[in-house]
Amino acid sequence: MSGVGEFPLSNMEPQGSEMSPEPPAQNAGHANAERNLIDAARREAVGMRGAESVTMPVLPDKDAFPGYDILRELRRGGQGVVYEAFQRSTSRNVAIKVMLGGPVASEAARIRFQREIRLLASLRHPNIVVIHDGGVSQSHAYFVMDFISGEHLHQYCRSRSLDAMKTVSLFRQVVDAVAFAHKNGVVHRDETI
Amino acid sequence: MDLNEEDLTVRAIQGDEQALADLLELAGPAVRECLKGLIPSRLQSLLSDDDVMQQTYVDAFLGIRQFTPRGSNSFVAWLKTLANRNLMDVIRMLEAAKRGGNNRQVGLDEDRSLTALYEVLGATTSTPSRRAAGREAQLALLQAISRLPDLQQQVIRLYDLEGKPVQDVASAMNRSQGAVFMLRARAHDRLREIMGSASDYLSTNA
Repeated sequence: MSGVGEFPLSNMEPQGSEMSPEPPAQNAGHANAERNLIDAARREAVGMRGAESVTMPVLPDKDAFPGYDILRELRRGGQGVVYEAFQRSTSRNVAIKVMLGGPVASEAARIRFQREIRLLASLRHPNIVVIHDGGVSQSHAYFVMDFISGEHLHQYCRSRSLDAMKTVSLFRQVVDAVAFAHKNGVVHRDETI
Repeated sequence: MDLNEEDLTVRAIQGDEQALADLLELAGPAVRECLKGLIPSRLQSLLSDDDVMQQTYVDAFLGIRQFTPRGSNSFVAWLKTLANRNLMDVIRMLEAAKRGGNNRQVGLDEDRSLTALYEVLGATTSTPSRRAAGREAQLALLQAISRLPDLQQQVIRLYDLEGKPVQDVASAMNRSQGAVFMLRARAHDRLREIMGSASDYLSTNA
């Protein structure tokens, strides 16, 4: 189970050196097709970017979180954006959820976000992420939680062709965490497996 | 990360689109390889790995400035994350469409279409139907839609507001059904961002 909000269970991780060398001659056709795809995407992005300039959400700078280096964006949803970050003091990777809107966010949205922090911090369960830190930076409320690497659960099950018993065993862990949260008055509302 | 890759990455982050295109050409095959077998067979007539790759490349062009390189393979890892997000979004939407769900009802008038879209977006955690029923909320949503890029506006208008079947939208936009749904997912993300940051002009009593 991921934590409260939209934090994904995992990401596809790189393995070994994965940049392709120059394509061999027999793959020239594939390379051309890939280049055409990239060129089409580039043209589409140009059209998108015109609108981006007026719709860019209000987000803090990458260096807005003292003690942390933002590494990449993991996920964004209606309420916030989750980044993977490096915590310098402990030399470990963490996840930082930042509230969207920042200075222009409504009071109701701020209250909801602060409530999420309190609720998540109050839960202690082996399958629920732990909150380590939180605060406000450049008018953006944020909190720091465990970073969970690995695969999405459905990918894990599919890639290993798990039998029903093993799948149910995994799902039980998810249900245990959800049940624990419910018993403590927390409804997730956005479980993603 | 070899020197060429490192140089391309630095230039790409600084806004050199040709460098990014070259970098994508290098990194793309590894991401494509990762997609193999992840598209369920029942959806393969509606979605190809080309669809996922193209949307991923668009995301890369739009988001490269947010990427922070951290050693070998970090660019590939970032690209895989984008591809993974696109794949998950489109599978969820295609499955919902197959079930006839996703809170979507065909033939609604504009008021009800806007309310349904508002609920799909989940723009607020508090009684969305009641709030979306207010004209103020509907105007805010319409205003947010008007700020989307043209392609995203088109997919929202045709699919979410006019209630056209996805195959008709795909035909009108000359895209696969999967590509339409990935575009829609990005449009929904953008609407959530706009609505989230602008929610202070939604009256709490609406």
